[in-house]
Amino acid sequence: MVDNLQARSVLALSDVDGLRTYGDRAILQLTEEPPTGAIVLRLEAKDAQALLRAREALSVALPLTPNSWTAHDDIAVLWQAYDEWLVLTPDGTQVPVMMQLAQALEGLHAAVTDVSDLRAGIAVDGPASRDLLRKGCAVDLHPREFSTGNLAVTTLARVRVVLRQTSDTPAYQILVERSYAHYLWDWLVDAAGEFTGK
Amino acid sequence: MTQAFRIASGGMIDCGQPLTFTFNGKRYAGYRGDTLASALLANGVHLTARSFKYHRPRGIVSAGPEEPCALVRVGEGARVQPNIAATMVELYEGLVAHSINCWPGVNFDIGAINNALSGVLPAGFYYKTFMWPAAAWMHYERFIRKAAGLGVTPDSPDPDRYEKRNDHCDVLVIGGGPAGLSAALAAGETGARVLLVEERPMLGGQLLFRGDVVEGLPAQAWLAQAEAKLAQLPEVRVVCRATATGYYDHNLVTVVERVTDHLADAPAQLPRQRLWKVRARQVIVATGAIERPIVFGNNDLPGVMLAGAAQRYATQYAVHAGRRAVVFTNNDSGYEAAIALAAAGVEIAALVDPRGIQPCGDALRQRGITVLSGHAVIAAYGTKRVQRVDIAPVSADASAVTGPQRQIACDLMCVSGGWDPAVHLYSQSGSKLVFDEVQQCFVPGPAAQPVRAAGAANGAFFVEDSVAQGHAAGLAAVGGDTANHTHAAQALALQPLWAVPANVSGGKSFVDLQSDVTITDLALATREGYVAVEHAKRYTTTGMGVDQGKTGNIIAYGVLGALSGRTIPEVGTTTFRPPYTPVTIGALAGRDIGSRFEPVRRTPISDWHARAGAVFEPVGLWQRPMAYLKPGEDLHAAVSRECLAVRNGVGLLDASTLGKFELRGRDAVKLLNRVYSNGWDNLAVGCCRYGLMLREDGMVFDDGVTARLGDAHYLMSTTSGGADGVLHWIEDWLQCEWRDLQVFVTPVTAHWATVCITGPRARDVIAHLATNIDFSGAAFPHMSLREGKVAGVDARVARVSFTGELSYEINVPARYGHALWEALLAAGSAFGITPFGTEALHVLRAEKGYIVVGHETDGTVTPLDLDMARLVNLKKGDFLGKRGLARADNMRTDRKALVGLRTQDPTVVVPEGSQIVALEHAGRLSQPPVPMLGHVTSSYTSPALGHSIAMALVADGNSRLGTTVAVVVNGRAVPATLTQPCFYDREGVRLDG
Repeated sequence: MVDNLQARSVLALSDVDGLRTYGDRAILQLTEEPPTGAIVLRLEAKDAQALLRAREALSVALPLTPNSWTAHDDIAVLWQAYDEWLVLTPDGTQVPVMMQLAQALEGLHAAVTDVSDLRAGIAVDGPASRDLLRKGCAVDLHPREFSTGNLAVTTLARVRVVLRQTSDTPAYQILVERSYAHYLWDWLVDAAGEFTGK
Repeated sequence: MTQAFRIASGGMIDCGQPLTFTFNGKRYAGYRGDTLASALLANGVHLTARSFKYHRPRGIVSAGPEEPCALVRVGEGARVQPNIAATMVELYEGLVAHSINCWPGVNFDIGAINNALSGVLPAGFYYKTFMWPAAAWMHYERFIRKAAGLGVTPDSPDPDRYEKRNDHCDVLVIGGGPAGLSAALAAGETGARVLLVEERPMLGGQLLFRGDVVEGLPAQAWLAQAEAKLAQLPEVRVVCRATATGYYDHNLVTVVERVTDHLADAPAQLPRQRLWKVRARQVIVATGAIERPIVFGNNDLPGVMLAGAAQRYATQYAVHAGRRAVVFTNNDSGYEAAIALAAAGVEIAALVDPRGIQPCGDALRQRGITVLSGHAVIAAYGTKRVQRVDIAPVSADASAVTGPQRQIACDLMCVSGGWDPAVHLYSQSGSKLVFDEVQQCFVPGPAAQPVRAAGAANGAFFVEDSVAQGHAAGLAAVGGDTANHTHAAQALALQPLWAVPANVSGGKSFVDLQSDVTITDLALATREGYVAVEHAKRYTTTGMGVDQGKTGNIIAYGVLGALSGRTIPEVGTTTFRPPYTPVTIGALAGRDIGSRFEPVRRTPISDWHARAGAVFEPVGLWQRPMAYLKPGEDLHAAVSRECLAVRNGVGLLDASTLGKFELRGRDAVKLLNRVYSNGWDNLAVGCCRYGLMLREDGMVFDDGVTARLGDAHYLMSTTSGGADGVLHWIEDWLQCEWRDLQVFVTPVTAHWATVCITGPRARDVIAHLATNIDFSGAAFPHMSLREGKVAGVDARVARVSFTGELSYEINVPARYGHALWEALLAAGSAFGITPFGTEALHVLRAEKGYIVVGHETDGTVTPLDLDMARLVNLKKGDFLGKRGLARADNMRTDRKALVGLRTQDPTVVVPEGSQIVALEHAGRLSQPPVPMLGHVTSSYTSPALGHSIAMALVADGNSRLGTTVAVVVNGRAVPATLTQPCFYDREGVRLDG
């Protein structure tokens, strides 16, 4: 009787594979992130009541400024569109957070959907990060235009990603649809060769 | 190895770094800082190429990107680059270059016979061969294809890396001459983000070869100071060897940076070239100006050179382009060149000027140079190098020869017909050009984007004006001031002269040296009615070479104007199109090559498939297993085995690629009713329903099963390849048309791994997995969905079937997909569980008569054509496609209808796409037209049935059931009988296992 399916990370090719890493932070490091909880929250930004209840449920206000994200404790809320946010939670807490949200928004025009396995997270860290990303991303990542707290829903290489600046060093998080993750990882490693000399 | 034409000292070359290179197999010496052209000239090599059409000897005309003649092939093997201007190739140790367009060699070229045959190769010759006689083109084509074109392409993949880079700045300055440097400084000193790109290896522009004083400093000192200041500004970046090649909407400028082209041994990790996509708030075009020649007889001889180029070779590269020069100029810049050449030790035989007065004449006479005012060069003579020129006195407007010709011996003929601002990028931006009557050139006019021009690119041909304009433009760019032009204080004194009178010159007079277009050709085109400049261009090929007519186009406008009595503004210009100079395909492709050419989408189970010997097929961007080949099996055997396993036991399919969307909101059911043709009001929670999605025209474009998960909560599934399109379609309607609907659509496709277990033993296998879902037939009927735990993880299980067998689609979060797959394989091993691919799936569904969107539909097929009237609910209110279905053509009863097809010979599998005709027409297949009844949409061997099966769309098919038609296969009629589309288990009893 099978009752304990083993989870695999997105980029793993076998059950014993760990999370993938490449390079080092002194120049450029790529790291496959461990799984997180992820929830798509849909509601109308003009619906003040829904905004209020969502804030109470998450203990953090939904960012209303386009292309920004906020965080409180270990929950991050990423603006995605005028009626859409992506809520990132520690893995394992997505179900209770969803329940809280769903309860809080009961009776309002809102949707809460678990997408924890929809995307892979890849961290990009190190001084060459901007030059790496600019090879395939048309967003202006200059500190005057894009800094910690900013994100973009954009195209990297040939795929749609959520690109989020997570620190000023700079470091970024790329969220990519799971099915494209291998392609994007290979693209990133190829592009990184110019900086790492590999 | 001696450089006989090298000047002993001076120039910006590094005599401490001698280099060797080979040209056409012969070794030569040069120095770091040389271009290939300057090094060849230093060695006395002028003959570098043969011309495109007549294979006439050609030399080095210019010292820049405008070079029309000295095109060479650089590099060897896979790294070869054809058609590079020798004037822009930086010399490096071991450089290998060859002439193009000649065989067997540049000194003796068999194609030169075309020169003698020029009478039968007039303008438009190429087009005329198309016209008459009709059959002749087939004969000419091979000859023309071989003779035409420049250079040869490498025959193996390019081993170099090419990269791309997106960049942004407040101000993009294109060109690093005095105007560009001033602009970058002015803007940069305010703290703005400035990007300065310079095509050449070093900054300076005209300062590199003109010894002016700039702002009180010697040019070189001013240049060094400007560079130092720029280097101090942290937000200013300067990139040399970077050519702005295209200017597009939203101030997007493409720049090609030649990163390692100039290095003999490039570091392996560096790209050869990098394509920059620069998005700039403001652009300053400081691209300088291009000198133009004056046309005279045999003006294409090697040794005929632009005066400014000869000056640059002498001053910047310390090279004598000749020992004894004649300078022919209609403007003052030729005088400056003559003085510079004389100072560098070139003997100036004469300066020939058609103007009656020459403001600078005395400066030359003081140096002992003969100045022949009111004269023009009529023709040049020589075999592979100019040996003499013939000059004659001309009338005041230079339209007629007024006296006897005389000969002057020379080995260098310098010519200047004026200067044209390099307005290419400015024009590409969509901005207007206006004609400057005084300087006889097109200059930037009103801007269409945030762009301004400065310096010579703006018609300011004097250094002090360039500096002032650059400074003003730089400040304006950061101040947001849109006032565009600062007018130049000084104008170039010039008498327009495009060509010396053609009737007196001997030999051919070339307007476009690269495309071999002569004045005679332009005259012929005008006579034949090609008066519009764009027509004349295409007919004569003027300006259609890789140089894009940078030196010749303006002359063509002048000549066309003279031929037709129009002014140059009336003639107009041809369109300036990107790229400014040729761009390698490698730079455009970047790293999107090989495995990165297109993304491949993978499911969580993809690795298992590959290890199990799967043959993959593309479905959208997915690669899905088509079949799993066991050792010794071919595709057909594998598909047969997989099909029978499903029919007789149990099979396993990775269905993770199916599109999945969650619909939430009180109007979710309204949305379903509007996007599907069937009704959804009565779908109970936990139940599934199949739906067809139609375009407005009533044609099927997607299908799939939607389950109701809760009160206002649905899970929609779509075809694998259609998911993205369906999402765009629905969002388009929701965001643009149905703003009142309260429903959110959230794509969740890749969140779930979906494994389909199908076959009579499916339930037996699932019994081995721990689950809290009751899988009994009564508790979990066909077309229902249950949520619960399967093997310890949250799962959604849908009982739906595309094979006709008992089937469950088990959805688990993607991280568990691989483990679920292996668990089911292990649990099913006792039942012979068999993974199967899309090909077996297609056979199994065809046995059942189930359609596949894209097989049975092609955008012209309605639900009624598919005999799915039950899926069209006309009573439920409006839905997408409802009105389309009511169109008269869609109501015809004789439309093509979906039918089954049984070949009389059960072993014959007709190809999909085969045409179907009436049996009585089968005898006249060789006498078309034959009325067509329809075509085959799917066709397979059915292992379960032991015969071939096919589906087809046949006109009035339902009335023809039972009749025999002819399927046309390779011109042969294959008789087949029309049947119901369902071949297997028509009663559907197998759905219950």
